[in-house]
Formats: sequence, C-alpha cells, structure tokens
Amino acid sequence: MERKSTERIGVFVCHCGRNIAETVDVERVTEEIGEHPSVVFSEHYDYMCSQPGQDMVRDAIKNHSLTSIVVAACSPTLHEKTFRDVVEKAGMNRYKCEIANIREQDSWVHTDKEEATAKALRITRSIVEKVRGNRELSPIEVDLHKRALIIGGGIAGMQASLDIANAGHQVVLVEREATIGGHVAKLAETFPTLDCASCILTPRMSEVANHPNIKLIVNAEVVDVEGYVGNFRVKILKKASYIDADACNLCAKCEGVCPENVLSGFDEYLSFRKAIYIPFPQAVPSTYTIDTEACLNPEGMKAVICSKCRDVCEADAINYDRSSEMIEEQAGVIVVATGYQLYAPENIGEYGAGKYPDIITSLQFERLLAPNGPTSGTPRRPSDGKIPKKLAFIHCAGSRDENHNDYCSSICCMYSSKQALLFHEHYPDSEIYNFYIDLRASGKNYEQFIKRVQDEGINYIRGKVSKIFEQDGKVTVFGIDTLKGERIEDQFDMAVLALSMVAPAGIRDLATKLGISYDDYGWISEEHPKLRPVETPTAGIFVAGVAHGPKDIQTTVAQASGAASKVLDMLSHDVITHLPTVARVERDACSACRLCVSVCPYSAITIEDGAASVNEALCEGGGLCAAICPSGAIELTNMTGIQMMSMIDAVSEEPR
Amino acid sequence: MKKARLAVGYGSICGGCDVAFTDVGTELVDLAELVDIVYWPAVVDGKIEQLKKISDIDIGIYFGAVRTEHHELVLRLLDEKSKILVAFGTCPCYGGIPALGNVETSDSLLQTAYSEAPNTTNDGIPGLRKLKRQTMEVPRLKAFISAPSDLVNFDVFVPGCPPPVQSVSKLIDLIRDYSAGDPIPEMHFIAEETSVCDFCKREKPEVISIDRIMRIHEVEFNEDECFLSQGILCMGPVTRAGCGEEPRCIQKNMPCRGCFGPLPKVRDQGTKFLSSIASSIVLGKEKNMSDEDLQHLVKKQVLDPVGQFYRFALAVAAFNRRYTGD
Ligand SMILES: Cc1cc2nc3c(=O)[nH]c(=O)nc-3n(C[C@H](O)[C@H](O)[C@H](O)COP(=O)(O)OP(=O)(O)OC[C@H]3O[C@@H](n4cnc5c(N)ncnc54)[C@H](O)[C@@H]3O)c2cc1C
Ligand code: SF4
Ligand code: SF4
Ligand code: SF4
Repeated sequence: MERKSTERIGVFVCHCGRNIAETVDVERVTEEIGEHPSVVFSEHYDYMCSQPGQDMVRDAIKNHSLTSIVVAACSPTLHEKTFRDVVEKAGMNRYKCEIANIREQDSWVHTDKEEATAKALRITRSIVEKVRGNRELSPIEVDLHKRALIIGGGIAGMQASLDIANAGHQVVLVEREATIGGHVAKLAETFPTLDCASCILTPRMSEVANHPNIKLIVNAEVVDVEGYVGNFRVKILKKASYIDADACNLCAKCEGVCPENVLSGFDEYLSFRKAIYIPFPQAVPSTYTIDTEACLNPEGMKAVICSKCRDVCEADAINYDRSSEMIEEQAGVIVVATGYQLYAPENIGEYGAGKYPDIITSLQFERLLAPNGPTSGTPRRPSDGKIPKKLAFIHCAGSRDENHNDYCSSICCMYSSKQALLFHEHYPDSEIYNFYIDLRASGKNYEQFIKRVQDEGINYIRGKVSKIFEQDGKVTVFGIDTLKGERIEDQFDMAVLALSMVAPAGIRDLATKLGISYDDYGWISEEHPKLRPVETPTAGIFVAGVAHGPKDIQTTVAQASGAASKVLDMLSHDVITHLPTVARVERDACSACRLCVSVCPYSAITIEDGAASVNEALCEGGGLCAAICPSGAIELTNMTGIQMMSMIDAVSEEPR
Repeated sequence: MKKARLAVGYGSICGGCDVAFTDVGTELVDLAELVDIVYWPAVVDGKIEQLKKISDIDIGIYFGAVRTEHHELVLRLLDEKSKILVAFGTCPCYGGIPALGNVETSDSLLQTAYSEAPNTTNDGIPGLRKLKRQTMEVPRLKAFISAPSDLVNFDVFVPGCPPPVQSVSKLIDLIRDYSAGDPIPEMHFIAEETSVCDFCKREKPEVISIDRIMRIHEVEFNEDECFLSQGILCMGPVTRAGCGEEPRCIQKNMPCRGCFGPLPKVRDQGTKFLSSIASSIVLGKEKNMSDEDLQHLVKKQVLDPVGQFYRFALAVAAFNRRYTGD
C-alpha cells in the first residue's frame, strides 16, 4: 500500500511465525496503520528478521523513498540492531528506525485476538509517533584504553585473563585472597570426568603467574571506579605485604617458628596453619603471607612484639615496615569474575551444622577427599578422626527453599553424587545415602555420571530432610521418602550438606561502584539472557563465571572465554562508539537544583556555570534525570517530553 | 490618548484576586486614567446582560476557574469581545484551588454539600439541572472544573494565588504600553522563566537525598538550608518564580506551595514533582528496601498527595479528574 505525505514512514508488521500472527490479526494492523497520515507504506511478512524480510525493508526504503521506518515485531533488545543495520545499508540514518514490540508486550500475554489486535495497533501507532520525532544522530566516539581489568582470580578470572593476554593485550588481575585459584583449588576431583582439580588448575595458575601481559595484584580489592567504557580509572587497595614475593624461596622456616596457630581458611577450617603461611604449596603468587589478624604484632605492624619469622628468614624477604598501598590503574574494559561463597550453614538451624562436628559442609568434605587436604585424602570425620561407614549427603541445603534461597544452585546434585562416588570407590563397604528433591543432571554426560554413581550401589532417597542432629555420637536424619511414602529416621556417622551457592560478600558494594546491577540474590545481571549473556547493561563491563549465577566449571570457563572474546572485540578498535541517545540539557531552563546530579547512577552530570552539563561518554541514556528534573530542562535525545506525550496520546486514542 | 476599554469577568473565584488587584494602592489612580472600566462586578456592574451588550473591549481580564455553565459563558463572551485577554491569578492559568474539586464528581460534591454536610438538613439535592425560581436562575455545574486556559487562548498570564502587587503593577504598565500602541508579546507571562529555587537564597547540599518526609511542624529545621534537603516538601523546584525578589513563602519560612504553576517546559507540575520526589527519596539506599516498603514510606509520609502535589494545577495535569468512565 502506498499513500502520499511529506513524512514518509514505512511500517513492517512481523508474524513471527505463529508467535504474533496467531493472536494478532497482522493483516488488519498493516491495513489500519497504513491509514495513518504519516505512514506511506505498510506491509507484513512471516519473519521480518529473515533475509527476505530484510530485503523487503531495504527495497521499500528505496522504492518508496521512506524517511523512517517502524518494525512491529519482537522486543527491541532482540532485533533493533538487526533492522538498524538494514536501514543503514539502505542509506537511512539508523536512528530513524524504531521497533514496536507486539510480541512480548502483546501476543505472548494475551489470548483474545480482537483485543490483542487493537493493542498491537495502539503500540504501533505510539511508535510511529515516536519515530516522527526522532532526529538523525551519529554515534559518539570515545578513546579506548587498550587494557582489561579482571576482578576475581578464580577459574573464570584466570581463563578470561589468559585469553585476553594471549591475544596480546595487557591485563590487570585483582584477587581479594592471597592466591588465585578460587574454589576450584579446594576441590578434590571434578565431575563428570573425575579429573583431579589441581591438574586442571595449577598449570593455568602458573601460566597466569608467568604471563608477560598479566599484572597480578593479590590481597587487593577494587575500592573506587571512575570513568566509562574505554576509560575506566580504578583504585585498588592492596593490603600490606610484608614479604617480598620474589625473594621468598618457600623454605618454610618462618612457618616453623611462628608461635600463632589459626584455623586454615583454605582447608575450610578443618586444620590449623600459622599466622605466616602459604595457602597451599602451589599458590600463586608463590610466596608466604602474614595473616595480620592472627599475627601477634598489632594491626599494621605498629609495634614489633614478635619478630621470629623475620629473624629466621635467610632470604631477607620479610620487612615489617611496609604498609598498604592504593594502586591506580586504567583500563578500557572490566570483567567481573567474583564467583560465589557457600550459604552459611548456621542459617539452616534445623540441619545442625556448626553445632555438631560431624555435620559438615560440602566444601569441607571436598577438602577431606583432597590429597592435599587436612587428612591427606583419607576422609576422617572431625569428631574422632574415624573413617565414617555410613554417610548422608543432603542435597538442596538452603536451595529451592523459600525460607532460604528459592533458586536451584544447579550443581549440588552433581557434586554430592561425585563425593559419594569418590568415597565409595575407596570404601566399597560403606553405606551411602543421597537425600534429594529432584536430581538435576542436565549437563553433557551428567545423566550418565549419575547412572554410574547409582550403579555403584549408592542409595538415592527422594524427599526433603526436615531435621539433622547428633545424639550419642550418631548423626540422626529425619526425612521422608516420597517415592515410598515413608517417614525416615535413620542414623549416620556423618552428614554432608550441599549448601547453596550465594553471591560473595561485598559484591553489592562492588557492583554499585561499577555502576552495574544485580538481581535479588546479588548475582550480576546480564544485558540479555540469550543474546548478550556476558555483557552487563553498562558498556565495557562484562561478567563471567558464578558471579553471574550458579554454574559448573565447564560453563564457567566457556562463559569466561565468551567474555574474553567480547573484550577482544572491543580492544580491537582504536575508538569505541557510544549510543548518541544521551541526555541533553537546555541550559536556560535549568535551575541548577542538582537533583539530576544526585540521581544519575553513572555520575554523568555535573553543574557547570550554574547549569547541568552531561558527559556524553558517561551517559547511558537511562533517563532518570529526565524523570527527576523538575524544570523539564533535561531530556533524552529521541525520547523527549513532546515525543512521550504524543506517544501517550496515540496509545490512549480509541481505535476506530 | 484614547482611553482603553477594560472589562473584568469572574469565573469561580474566592474574591482574593479583587483584593490583590486593589492592593496596588495609588497605582489604581493611574489605571483609572488609562482605562474606562466597562464591566467589573465588584466595581461597576456585574449583570450578564450588560456584558452581552458591550462590544469593543480592549482588555478583558478573567478571574477564577470554570465551574458552572455561567462561568464558561462569561469567559466565552470576554474572549469574543476582547482584543487582549488576560488570565489573572492561578485559577484561569491552571485551574487553581477550585479544581481540587475534580477529585470528586460534581454529583457527589452536590450530595455532600446539600445533604451530607453535618449542618445541613436539606433532603433535596439540586442535581446537575438548571434551577429556576421566579426570575432567578442558578446555573448548572459542569461535569468537572476546567482551567480557562484550556478553553480559550489568553494573551497574558498573571499567575499567583493571588498575584503579588508587583505583578499587578507590571500588568498596569503593560496596559499603558498597549494604550500607547506597543505590541504585547505572544503568550506573555508576568512571571519569571526559571524556578523558585533559582531565586531562593537557602543553602543547597551537593546531593539531595530525602530520608524522611516531614511536615513543617514536625521538625526543628535550619532556616538557612534548603527545605527539601531537610525533608520538607517544597514545591520550589517545579514552580515558576515571580512571586518576589525572594520567594514570598520561603522568605516567611514556609516551603513553596507551588501557586505560580509549572515551569515553561513542564506541562504537569504535580506529576513532575511527584516523580522528582519519588526519585530522591532514600536515594542510594533504596536497594536495601522492598518495593512495598518504599511505597509505604511515600504513602505514609505524604498524607494528602493530591493537595500536596496538585494543589494549584490539577486541572491542567495529565490526569486531571476522577475517572467516570466517559
Ligand atoms: C563442594 C563443591 C564441589 C564442586 N565440584 C565441582 C565439580 O566437581 N565440577 C564442576 O564443574 N564444578 C564444581 N563445583 C563448582 C565450582 O566450584 C565453580 O563452578 C567454580 O569455582 C566457579 O569459578 P569462578 O571463578 O566463577 O568462582 P570462584 O571459584 O568462586 O572464584 C572467584 C574468585 O574471586 C575472588 N573474589 C571474590 N570477590 C572479590 C572481590 N570483590 N575482589 C577481588 N576478588 C574477589 C575470590 O576470592 C575467588 O578467588 C563445586 C562447587 C562446590 C561448592
Ligand atoms: S534536575 Fe533539571 S533543573 Fe535541576 S540541575 Fe538537573 S537539569 Fe537543572
Ligand atoms: S527546594 Fe525550596 S527551599 Fe530548596 S532551594 Fe528550592 S525553593 Fe529553596
Ligand atoms: S513561594 Fe510558592 S506558593 Fe509561595 S507565593 Fe511563591 S510561588 Fe506561591
């Protein structure tokens, strides 16, 4: 259909197969929108995003000299870019193309065809109004600092660092603990292949340590982030390191003389270490560290009460006069790979962990299985050092439970089964029970792995455990077998809680500093779960590994490489472009009330000479400022108040 | 110089604008020299027949909002007969206080006034009919109150509830210029183009984050600091300045109530302020609160949201009256 008008808008209505067309009368939408005074062309097609659909758009722009277009289809997060690329190739400014979402906001949520069609029309009309007010824009260019900052040195952070460094770019890797490696360093063997965790991890750790492009900063945390994509300025607080890592030759003499014993965090508090220690022999950086909280000398080594370690060090590596440092780094991109922590067992009072010695956490059991663990790989129970004969593994401890965490931690079924198998392989006479709600084993070869564990003779009982406690040296488990419909009350030598994975301490703070968002649980939010899973909504900041939500090593590493490839894509350019749909201030109308300055999450606004001023490179176009500005002085480009009002009018107008 | 012909017509008024007008004192003498007052209920004559008869009004001034059919008739007559039409006071500009009646339907207002009010024993309710008694006629209420500025095009706006003396002086100056043949700028506002805050001398902190909304009597506040930053809702940021060199309420230690109406770039003063306040409440701390807590906080602390945010400009707001389904 073609009509005459100076404004020449084309509207393309997509069927999305049956997704839209089943609930929306696409032909009627096409016909009625074609009667809008500014619409000169309208058409519908099965899949607008396919090649024939794209060709249809391109040809219509040429043949009907369209000045702007609206595609009525799925959410703009899906295909806005697709269609903007198409119009650009056809010689139209990309900001003259808008998407009317008649799928997620219409066909998917309604069943009545009549009403859904009327709504599709309203939505499309409102977007036609928007596009009428759109200006032609060109992207904003900003310089790019060709360097990546990776936060968190677990397997995710290491993988991302190595991928980026191997491609020839500089990497700064910041780790909060004394060594990199994260949780995988604590594991014994890993499902589903049962390869030993150290064998996967330690070679990579040393690769990181020796890589000329990687600058590793341990015992450190990011405390301040300024700037924007391409130009982040980051302040990193590194705790004082009293030991010169290059000089330390790991002779362990200091450890021998140190009088202070504390529980070892690396061993999940199942063994003791000294105040001067190395988390484990393969730690990177390969050096001893002083745990200042445990050291006899007061915080910050303000006075030297004990100097035994310094006195004994032949390499002269120890110096108490050092202090913490603030390191400033510049980076163009940031990857957040801060992993997880286990849900505190004390939170689940009815499971008795912390109260009874033989009710332990899954990570503790992992340490008991590990050859480099506190019992050298022979799993002995904490209370009396005996090897347990009858063991209970409690799945979903704190997961899938509205009183704790309502999500599935996704890997506990797998690692509990793994732990059961590893134990049983060593002690075939042992009796092992896995208490589970549902068995989740959806990864590659996972189901086969579970089968193998079951074939090994390990029992699986379906039902939630209600209570665990110790009595007369035995761990009693109350539960229910929902398959048999029986109540269960049984005694064990030890119980292992598969605790949920939760977001690590401090992550919310860090996210706020970075200007990225997190979900209700503290997991970092991605830009789009399907199409942009490793990008955060803040340009230049990516997420990898469990920081984004529970997952196994395999997926963690894949995601880390995914994030690295996005980073490399960015670093391959000399400048980066930034969306031009930023906030703009009409300086005469601004009364410098500062409300927008306070509300902008990206610190993009400052008051200059009595009026607000927007740093375009920082502005993400979120529009909080436009909403808060009492003077109507600040507006989003291509989403002005006038556009918004005419969109509202179009939505509320009665269809014929 | 030929004397200009001036007429003043009333809508729904409180009488304050008459008082405010005459507050200019001796300048009224100047006015009397400049114009012939051909119609002004409080001054010369107020019968509608009179207004119907008059023609060739140079300056027509309208006070008040449009509540009844009669108010609309006066407005339309003035509009038709006047060369320059002036909206005097907040009511003709934005609907003003009378428009708060739009939170109820006209029927239920009458119900309350004629039958439910504690001091009323009347059983009959006039309804929305015209009432006639002998020669007298009580005009019908319209379904809702409108801002006259939504019904006709004014040339000059004099906001303020009531407009301050200096605005009246400026209006007289304008009439003088007009009589001397000078053109009057289009859609001219006798007010400033920026906000009350722009003229307010109180200290403003770097970041405004409101932890708790307080009413003026609930807090011992700092007289030199911005009201808003102390949690007292001040309409200054969304209100056009012009009420005084130093805003008149602020000067008297009261937060701005918003009587000068929205800023030039804003259509809906109340909604604008509501969204500003909603964004600055517990700014930076909202992450730790649930949505319900946040809503509760605002609901509990703002006792009369319509009265607070839409006191003077409800009639011109995007949502300006009770929804009655038509
Ligand atoms: C008992 C148990 C057994 C498991 N067994 C298996 C298995 O057999 N197979 C398998 O595939 N998966 C297994 N997993 C899962 C595995 O641990 C994770 O998939 C993996 O550790 C994720 O790596 P990551 O780098 O994302 O996180 P992490 O390993 O948690 O590493 C995150 C790193 O970031 C650091 N960090 C955190 N916050 C900051 C900060 N603010 N600043 C700087 N650094 C910070 C941490 O110190 C840590 O070094 C198991 C998990 C558990 C609990
Ligand atoms: S909120 Fe509006 S008026 Fe206030 S400083 Fe920002 S732009 Fe200016
Ligand atoms: S909000 Fe009120 S007190 Fe604060 S600066 Fe504006 S007018 Fe003054
Ligand atoms: S301070 Fe505000 S409410 Fe008071 S007179 Fe001025 S504009 Fe009106």
